[in-house]
Amino acid sequence: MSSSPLSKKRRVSGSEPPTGSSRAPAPAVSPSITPANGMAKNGGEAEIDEGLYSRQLYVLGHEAMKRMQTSNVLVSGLRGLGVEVAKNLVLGGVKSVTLHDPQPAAWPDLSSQFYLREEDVGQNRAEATLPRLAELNAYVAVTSTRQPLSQDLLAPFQVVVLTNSSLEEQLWVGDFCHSHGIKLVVADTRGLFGQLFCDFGDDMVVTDTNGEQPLSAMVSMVTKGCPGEVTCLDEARHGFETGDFVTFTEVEGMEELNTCGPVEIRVLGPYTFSIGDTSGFGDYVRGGIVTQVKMPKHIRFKRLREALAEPELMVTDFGKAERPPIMHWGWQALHRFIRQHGHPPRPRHQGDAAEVVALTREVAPGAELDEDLLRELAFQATGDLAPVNAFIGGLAAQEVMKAVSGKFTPITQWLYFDALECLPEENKEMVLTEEQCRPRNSRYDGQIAVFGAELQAKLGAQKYFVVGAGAIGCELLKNFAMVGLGCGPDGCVTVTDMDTIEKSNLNRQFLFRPWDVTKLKSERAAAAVREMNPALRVSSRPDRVGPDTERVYDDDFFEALDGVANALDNVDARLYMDRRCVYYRKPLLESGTLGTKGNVQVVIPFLSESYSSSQDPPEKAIPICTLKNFPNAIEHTLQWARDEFEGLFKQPAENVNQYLTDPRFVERTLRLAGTQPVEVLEAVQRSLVGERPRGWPDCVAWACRHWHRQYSNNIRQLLHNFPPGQKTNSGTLFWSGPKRCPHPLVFDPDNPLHLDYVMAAANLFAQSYGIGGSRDRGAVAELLRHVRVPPFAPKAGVRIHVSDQELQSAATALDDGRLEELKASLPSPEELPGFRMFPIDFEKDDDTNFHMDFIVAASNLRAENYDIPPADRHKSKLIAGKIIPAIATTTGAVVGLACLELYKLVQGHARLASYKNAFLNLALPFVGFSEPLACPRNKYYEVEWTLWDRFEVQGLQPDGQEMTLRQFLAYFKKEHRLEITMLSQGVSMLYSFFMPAAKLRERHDQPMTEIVARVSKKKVGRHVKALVFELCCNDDTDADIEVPYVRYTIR
Amino acid sequence: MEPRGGAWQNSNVENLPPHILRLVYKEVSLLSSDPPDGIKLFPNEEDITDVQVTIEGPEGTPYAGGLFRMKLVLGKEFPAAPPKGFFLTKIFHPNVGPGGEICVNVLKRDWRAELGLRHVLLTIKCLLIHPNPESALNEEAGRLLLENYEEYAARARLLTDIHARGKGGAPPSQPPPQNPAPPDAAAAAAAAAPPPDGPLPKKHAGDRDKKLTAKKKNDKKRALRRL
Repeated sequence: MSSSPLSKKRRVSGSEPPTGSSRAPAPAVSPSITPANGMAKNGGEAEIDEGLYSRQLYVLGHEAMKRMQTSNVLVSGLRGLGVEVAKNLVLGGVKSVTLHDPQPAAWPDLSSQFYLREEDVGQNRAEATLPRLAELNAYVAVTSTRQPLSQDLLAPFQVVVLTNSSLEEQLWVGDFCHSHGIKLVVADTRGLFGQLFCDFGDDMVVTDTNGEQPLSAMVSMVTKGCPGEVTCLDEARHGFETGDFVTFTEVEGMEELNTCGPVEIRVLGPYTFSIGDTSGFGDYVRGGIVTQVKMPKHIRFKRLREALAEPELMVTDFGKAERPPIMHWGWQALHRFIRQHGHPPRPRHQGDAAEVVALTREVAPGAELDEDLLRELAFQATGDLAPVNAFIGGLAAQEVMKAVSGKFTPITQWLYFDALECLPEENKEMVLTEEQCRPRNSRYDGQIAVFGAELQAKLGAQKYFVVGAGAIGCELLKNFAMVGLGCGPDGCVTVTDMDTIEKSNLNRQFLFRPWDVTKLKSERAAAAVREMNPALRVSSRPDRVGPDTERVYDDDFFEALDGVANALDNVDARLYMDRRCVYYRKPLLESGTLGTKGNVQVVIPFLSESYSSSQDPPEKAIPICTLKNFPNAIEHTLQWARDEFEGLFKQPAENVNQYLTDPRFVERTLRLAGTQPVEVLEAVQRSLVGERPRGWPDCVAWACRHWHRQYSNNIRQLLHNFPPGQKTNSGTLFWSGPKRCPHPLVFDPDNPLHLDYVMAAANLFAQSYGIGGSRDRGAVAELLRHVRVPPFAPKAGVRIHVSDQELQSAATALDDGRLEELKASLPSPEELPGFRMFPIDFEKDDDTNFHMDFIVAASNLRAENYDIPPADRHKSKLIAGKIIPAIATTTGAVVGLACLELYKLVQGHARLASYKNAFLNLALPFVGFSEPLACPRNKYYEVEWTLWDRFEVQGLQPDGQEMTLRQFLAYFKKEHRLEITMLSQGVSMLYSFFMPAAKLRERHDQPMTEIVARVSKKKVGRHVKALVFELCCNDDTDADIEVPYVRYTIR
Repeated sequence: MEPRGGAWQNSNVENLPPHILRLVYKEVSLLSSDPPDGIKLFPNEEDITDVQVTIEGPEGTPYAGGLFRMKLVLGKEFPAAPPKGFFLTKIFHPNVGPGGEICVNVLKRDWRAELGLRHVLLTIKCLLIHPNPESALNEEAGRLLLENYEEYAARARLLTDIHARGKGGAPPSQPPPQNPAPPDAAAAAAAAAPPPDGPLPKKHAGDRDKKLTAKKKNDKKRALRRL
């Protein structure tokens, strides 16, 4: 119900004031002046490549995107964190990114700097990185400089990002930027620690604090009073919060509400809220839609110097809320240490660490300090971990985007993060010694500094399975290459994805380049990460995971694995992989994103619950009657349009082809239930006879007639059945509340929308018959003048007569006679040699295929029928295409967190409390962690069990014979004192206590695999070593009890 | 992409997690051995999530004497998302569309995972007793119900006679004859939602006043929606 009519959204965004920085020295260009001129680089013009930025546009919106395209960003420091920030910004599509770094690349940089190669060691970091970053997005000008930072250097930028920077530098840059209206982000990581700081000026204007669609609700009552109270229809909760601003439309009676500006509300309940004084207004009669309005929010940022002294700290982990202030001081102590010694504290060096603790006391005299925490910070000061950089770098890049666009709430102002749970659970001091963690001129030095050399060997020997090579898959592989997972002689990483690369992927699936489009994702991704770390033993597969590929991903494959990382975009595959991981008892890293929201779940065998233990609430389906007769939101008309598409251009063609090729089609159809046989055969007949076009003009005529059927005749028939004044039994208007009264449209070939519809529908219809279409609108308009549309005759007033007729036809419909008649009227397949139709699969991302043209036109015409505000192509595509908004920053951050869990899995952390599930929403901003839930413990008799346990039954007996059902039941009775009442494999029921006796007798002495094959009507493949059975059981006392599943081994 | 072809789509639920499947098995077996009044279940061995049932037309309705085949399709998100109900026997009813699809709020908006299949079946049975013209899928039936109850009842009865009796609507096996338990009573009890204020109105079992006032009908409808 939360429709957000676009017209309103436009009004809201139209009122957006410009964002903070208004100084405009070169090369800044003020937005929205000149049209695009086809320049390759972002030239400050408003043109946005929607094909490339499609998924990101659904996160940021066009306004924010335009502001980004006029922004120049300096990224200083091109180690692992800097490159991560720069990568996200280049993908995001700012105008230019300037890479600043005076230093040459060194071995430790390779721990996380994925665009530096071993042969780059000694080269300038920024210059070596530049070509690889520039490749990511042709619209972004990427340049580099090795000049020392100076005021002149900084002056042209809208945003400056400092990484790997001294505190002195941060302070003067902070002063300069603040007083010159340049926005500043400071980011730093030290091993498992991260730091982020934002200063967006004295008056930062945030135009959209959360990125959510404005909510709206339907009004059922408004009282006159002070304050007036508004009640919404009980269809859905309004979802507003006190302090929100709303506007009204379509209110009848109290019309003053429709014209007054946004009003602030106070929420009284889920369906009610109060507004200002309504006592002078007219009496409310009916109707009304109330819509949330986003109001700009002003934020004052302190300059770094002030914020350092009076820090405002954002908490990321409420379990460790006491740490951020200590890290804030500790970080300053680190800076002091480096200034005094010229190098950071050495890994696991006790003396250096003690000095850092002492320096912290100087920074924060008298404060209560967690010395262990400070010592860890000192120990890890040279640490450099790809996952931490991915997380902090994702956040930092999002902050840059906020700074330039005013979209989403910025971090105010400090964020500190640590992931110390990654360290060994036991005997930390013995495992992590100075010797273990010393640098050894290896590419993993940054990681060895934190975890020691021993873990490096373990990581190299891991065998991991990455399921999916989309956005998450790319990020996972990058992290794996950096941390050295599967890079040793015994290790390997297998990645599978059945998809090929599309243009819209390039915006965030950063391992792919324009020339990779149409190639296999898994292959290209594997090739790209091999370049990042040639030692990575990665192999790629083109398979979809599922029962069909269990021959490939069989027992041997899974048993050899150490773990699985999901990079999937749908719940089905996630559930499937979860089930496989539970069965093979492998850890699973699960992550997902939706726009700025992301989550990580880690599944640990025998410890945590599994992915499917908790289900997300499903999306509310739209009731069929709403779709069919009572739409009240654009979502409803779009879903209706999608159904039209399937029903017009896909299903009829599929049915016809089946009819023509499958001799048993008619027979199978006749076995369908109810009225289906008649409906299917009639549809086939319609496609082959009644509506079969002979050429392009017939297709145009069909489209025109179908237009009349859908947007005129059917609406008139509905209004005939329920006239506008119709009352319900309770005396209220039938067409009221959520039911909007429709009106028929009049066809007008000069109306662009009407012609759009005919163009799209006629072309698709022609395509489904293999007839050539036309894009010539003039010619089609001409053809339309000759189309004869049968006049509409409502089934009016002659109920009894009509009903009798209908009844008769309905009655005969089931008659064999009627079906025979239909069958006879169908041309036999022999009469149509070689004729086939072409079912059209909906493809939302091709703007030339007429698919979205049809959806947009069909949906907006129906919206017009019901006076629902129309939606433009962009929004229609989002809803009808069920597009998941996506942005590189969220993916990078989420996968970084997932890979932190990887460290724990590889070390074999055994405490649930060491693991962290994560949720984040970069727009709010919010980051939260929680301990994974323990697997629920069940019990029968004295046996405790969890989802990770099972009965192991050897189906093949010593004599080579397989167990029969009788023996199976007896086995459980004897061995486990369990009386099986029901036995199943998948969705097939093999045995149940209420089975007919005859069937049971027959089944009792059959081997189990034979029963499975018979009931499921599927053969048990040779690759299957074991079957999974589910049981329902009674105990000794005939009480129903829960028991684990059965692994029944047959080979 | 519902609703087109909905009733004959396969319910491909190989992805239901085991603990959910176990739940379905339990409920199906329970419903098979102890079905609600006038409802009979026909479990499908090959696919337990394909739930085929027959519902007897409730006494005192135009559907009385008819036997209606229907099926529940448990989607992949069951039980978080409600099952979809389809009538396989043709029926003249405002809330049943031409393809047999059923529009009832308890199967959509008010669904909770705990409600279970029994509740769904009872709700659909209730819908036969109290059709809701306001969410009409069969507009003709909806209009008649609003304008002319007798007319509506006559046509519903006629279709019941044609489709829901004899071989046309024959279920896999005939359910045993049932005592004509007053289905109204159950529905009335369910409908006796407390009014905003005041005591609970006392309902007598066997109170089968068919000519309910418009208001009472409305109360029931609302109660039904709340189910």
